[in-house]
Amino acid sequence: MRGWTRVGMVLVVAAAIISACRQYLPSNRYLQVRQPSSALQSTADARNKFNHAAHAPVLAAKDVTCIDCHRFDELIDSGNEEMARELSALGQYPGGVKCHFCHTGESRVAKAPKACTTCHQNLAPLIPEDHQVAWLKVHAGMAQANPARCENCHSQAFCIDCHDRRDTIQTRVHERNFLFFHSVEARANPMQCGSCHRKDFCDNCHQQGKVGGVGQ
Amino acid sequence: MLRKRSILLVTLGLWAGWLTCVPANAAEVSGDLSLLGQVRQGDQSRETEAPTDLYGNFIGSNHGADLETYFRLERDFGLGHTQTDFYAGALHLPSTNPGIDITLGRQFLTLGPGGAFVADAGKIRVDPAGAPVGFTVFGGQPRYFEPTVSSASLSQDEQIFGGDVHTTHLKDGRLSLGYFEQHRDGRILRQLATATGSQSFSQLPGLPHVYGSFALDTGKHNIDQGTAGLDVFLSQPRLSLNFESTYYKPQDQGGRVIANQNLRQDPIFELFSISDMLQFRGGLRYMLSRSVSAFGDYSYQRYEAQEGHMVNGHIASAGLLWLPGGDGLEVVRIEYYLFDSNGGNVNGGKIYYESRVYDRILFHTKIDVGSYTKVTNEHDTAVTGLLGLGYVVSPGLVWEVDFEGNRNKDFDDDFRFDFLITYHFDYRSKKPALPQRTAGTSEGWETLGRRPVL
Repeated sequence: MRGWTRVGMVLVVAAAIISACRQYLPSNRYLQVRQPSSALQSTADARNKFNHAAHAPVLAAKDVTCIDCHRFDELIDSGNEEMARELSALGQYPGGVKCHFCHTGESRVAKAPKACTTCHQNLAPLIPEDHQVAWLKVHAGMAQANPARCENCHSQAFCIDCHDRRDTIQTRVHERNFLFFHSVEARANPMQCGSCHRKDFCDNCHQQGKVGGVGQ
Repeated sequence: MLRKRSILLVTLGLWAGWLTCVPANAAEVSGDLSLLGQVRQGDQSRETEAPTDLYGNFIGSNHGADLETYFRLERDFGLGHTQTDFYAGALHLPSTNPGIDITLGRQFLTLGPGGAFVADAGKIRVDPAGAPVGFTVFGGQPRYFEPTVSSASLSQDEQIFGGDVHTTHLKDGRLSLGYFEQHRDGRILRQLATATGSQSFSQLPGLPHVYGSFALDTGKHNIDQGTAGLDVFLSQPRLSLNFESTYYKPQDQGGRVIANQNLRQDPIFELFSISDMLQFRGGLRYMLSRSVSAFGDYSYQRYEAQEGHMVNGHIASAGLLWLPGGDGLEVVRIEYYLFDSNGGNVNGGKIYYESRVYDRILFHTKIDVGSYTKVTNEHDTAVTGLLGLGYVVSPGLVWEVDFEGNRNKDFDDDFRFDFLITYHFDYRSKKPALPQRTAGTSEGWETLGRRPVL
């Protein structure tokens, strides 16, 4: 046990040092650090990728004019030229709603690409606020209330990966240790096992007098 | 072998049908292929096991029609057994007619408090233009993929069907009234009248969002389930809160014991409880700084284990999430967790670190230590750790090797070696309007979208 504790401590210290010294990491032809500017703000990243010339024929065919997307009636009176320039750029940005009008599952323009990564390089900043608090445990309530909202971003495989996929190589919902004390959590909240498991799964080991085996 | 061939034929048939039915221009196909392998010592037989899994998830879009297939082929080269699963093969026609959305085939279905199923099913959603309400109908046969080594105690002969009427133009909200029926082994298991709703109040401080669901079993005349929840997001201080309470009573048996497990609505729940359960939970996340946040979650459960004997259960976790740089390229997560019930108690801690700082090198490690004492007088400290190193060979193609070590009551030392090869691609048959993207220009980022790491 002491050996494991030491290994754990070494890993923690190593991770902390690597994280804290991130700006000093070497960058050369073999090790190229990602550019934070393109990873920090996914919406800005998508905005900068928009190509007016490429979109023009499609939008013209749909009778979409400039003012359908952009507002030109805003007066910016900040007294600060730099700030005014930034506010102007933001004011002209039509917002993701306009993009997603075509680039979604229920696309109004059939050939509009739907993959999120078409425009957003980094998906991490797009994770909604309500996904940040115990989301794995409470998502069922909101998915039941509005399943269409989930489908905006997630494919079926995303749900299946946790609810139905069973492989003994990667751990997804439960850590490897869970096998040894799952009976404690099952008695703490017996309602949640049935979300993904059938009783046959329990019987595989318990009826045969085994511990472990399937689902290790 | 026959099953593997069937899966291949079904997959190829679906894709051939889709490709021939829709015009070939501007087709968009994306996919994820994963090859996973592990070498380990079996905890029962102590023989060397070498499972290898191939997962394939392909999504095609053309003129509003989508086809998604997802399958697994497994071969254990150590034990010599084979397993195949076909998780999804569904055609989605969202714009066949305006306002009509049809999904046919094997699909993941969740609609109201009836549960979530993978089913061979059909689902039609109709949202007439301008109408304040729309409706959904669905029906099909659930499919299960859990390995059943011993003889099955539950029949897999199940059917589900139902539908709902839902609002389409409710500002910042949605309300639906529905019906769900489940049959197992030729008998009715559940007949639920359901109601679900969610509403956001974007004008109020804290942007509160309430949601809830309710299910009444009209056949057994009992309240099957009720859930109510609240989300609040405060900007000063940066605090996100969630509260939820649930009442659950899968079926009202009265004083009877149902011997036939196929007639039990939730057989696992009924192993532990003879009646109902009440749950209260609360969670929070507090942003200490731009890159560091603290989180906590606690849930309390109370149910009747035996007649007149109520028991309590507590599940809690708390920790810190640090995103050095604030961009998600690195994730450090430290968590303490606790389970306490009439089965014993568990105290544990987890540490997780992931780095995608480099364009080509991916690194992640985690360690989980859980100390438990069970009502059976069994106590131990289980340790598991993993160290993974990945290399982005080309955009979308990642090779990764993992080393895993475990120490528990089965093994003093259990070391496992894993390899993972993942490939993500996007392909468009016609030159797109936007500048041409090469396969997987997102450079491995899409794994963040597929895997809940935060």
